[in-house]
Amino acid sequence: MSFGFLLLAFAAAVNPCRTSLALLRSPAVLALGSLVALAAGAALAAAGSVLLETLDVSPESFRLAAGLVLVLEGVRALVLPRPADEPELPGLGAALVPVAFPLLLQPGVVVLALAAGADDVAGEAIGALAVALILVALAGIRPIGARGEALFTAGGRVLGALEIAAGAALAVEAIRDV
Amino acid sequence: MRRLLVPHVAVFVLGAAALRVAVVPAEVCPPLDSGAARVALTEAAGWLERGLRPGGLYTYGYYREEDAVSDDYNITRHAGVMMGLYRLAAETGDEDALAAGDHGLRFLRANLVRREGWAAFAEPGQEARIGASALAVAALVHRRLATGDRGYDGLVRALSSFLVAQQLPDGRVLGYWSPQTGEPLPGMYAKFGTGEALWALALVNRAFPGEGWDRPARRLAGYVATRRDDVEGYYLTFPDHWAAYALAELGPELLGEREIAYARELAGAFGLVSRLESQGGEDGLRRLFRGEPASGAGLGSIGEGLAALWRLSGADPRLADLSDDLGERLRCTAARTVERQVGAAEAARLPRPELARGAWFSEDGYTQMDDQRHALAALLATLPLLERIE
Repeated sequence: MSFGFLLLAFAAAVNPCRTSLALLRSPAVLALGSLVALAAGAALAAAGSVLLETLDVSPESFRLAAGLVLVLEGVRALVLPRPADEPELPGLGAALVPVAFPLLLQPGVVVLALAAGADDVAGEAIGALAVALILVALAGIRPIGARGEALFTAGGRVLGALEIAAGAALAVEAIRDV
Repeated sequence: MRRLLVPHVAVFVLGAAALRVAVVPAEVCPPLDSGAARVALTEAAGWLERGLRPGGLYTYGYYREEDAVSDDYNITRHAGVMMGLYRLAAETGDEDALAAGDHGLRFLRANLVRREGWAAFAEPGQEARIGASALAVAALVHRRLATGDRGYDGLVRALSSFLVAQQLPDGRVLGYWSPQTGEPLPGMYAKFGTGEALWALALVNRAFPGEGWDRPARRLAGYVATRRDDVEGYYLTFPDHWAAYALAELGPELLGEREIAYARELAGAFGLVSRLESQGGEDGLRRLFRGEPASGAGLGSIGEGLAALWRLSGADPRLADLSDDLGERLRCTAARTVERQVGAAEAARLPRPELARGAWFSEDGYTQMDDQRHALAALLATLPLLERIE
């Protein structure tokens, strides 16, 4: 998995356009939530190899599973371009729920981080996830009007399609790998 | 807080459980050493060697539950058994295997269709299948390696000429020849025959260098590497262990970039089926989601393909990066093959132990000569890997 692929895949999985439609517009909460998500993603990537070995799953087989998850998540983004409103913890706790989880730490992000870790590209994965989360923060930091919302809804669908493509590419690579 | 998280955590947990059960179950690879592999392949050879029948035939199949020997026969598999026995003799000096191979040679010599310039292995009045003649060539080349006897070189050349006579100018080989028309059947391909013919031509080229066998071999290799899957109707790369044998036999000097690219695709196909097989099991959710475990022939042919490509990856630097992964899959497949073999103690409890010992049975209690033949070849080819690991 190259850095370029991971960047596209993580950007599609966190889907800044779709996610920002449900984000709180507080810079502090957003920044803290992104950091929490990045730390969790980094931990998953670092543990990917050991975890899959413990589960007796080869990296190639797990890539197939990760591809499947990305495809399903991409389909969800196409069909449901706006996330449901989530209940939130008070104050800075909102950085944890709902910003870090469930809005940023989507299943696709989790499996992608694990797959990258098992593929010995944890560093690249963390870098790519960081860039994707910066995009989320940039997209979510300012209030958006009706036009912005329509634009982000369309953008969410485009990123959903990109996530499907990334998932399919990952699955095909897994099928072709030894 | 709990109320907020429960639905999302539930999605994660249930999703992870579904993935674990249906998509990525544990890949189970038992331990295996070269000693255990040698015992298993000796037992497999013993099943074939005990099955000598009048007229140069071998025992074809056995139904364990009914205690019945199959009346069927298949001459392509007959040639495959001969090849396996001669190969064992060539690589280990096993005299019993050589004698059992020579037993089958009587049937081969009695069932030859001869035309001007070629001979085919086919029963009287039957269509000549290209695979039977190709495996007969492979058998005789391995007999030559085992004994040094050149007495059948003429027959090897005649059978190989039949393969070339079936080849079209673009490299394709037609799978059948009709005794009624005296011509190949147009547009008919044999599922494994194409790869078998390629391997036979590669072997003959190595046995008789300078005679020009490399030309049809390379033409056929190019076809297999670039067009076979489309022409013969495979949507994904067909995991053809015979093609893998052929690529290994042709070696780096005769393989161009397109054949190397195909070898990579083939390695991926065998890697995938090996991983899927190691996720399966005889009962429970593994049985439900992965279906019936592979037969001895299925396991063996995966091992044969992996072993041939592993050997090639050690010889050709263009494939060196695949060597470790191929070795890992091969060791796992061989270990699962050994684990599923019927041992002497289990066989002793059955009505006819001699027809069960050393065999691999499918779920319905049936074993066939090619179960033992493929598994034997795979285990034989895994020995160098196991010895290297040890």
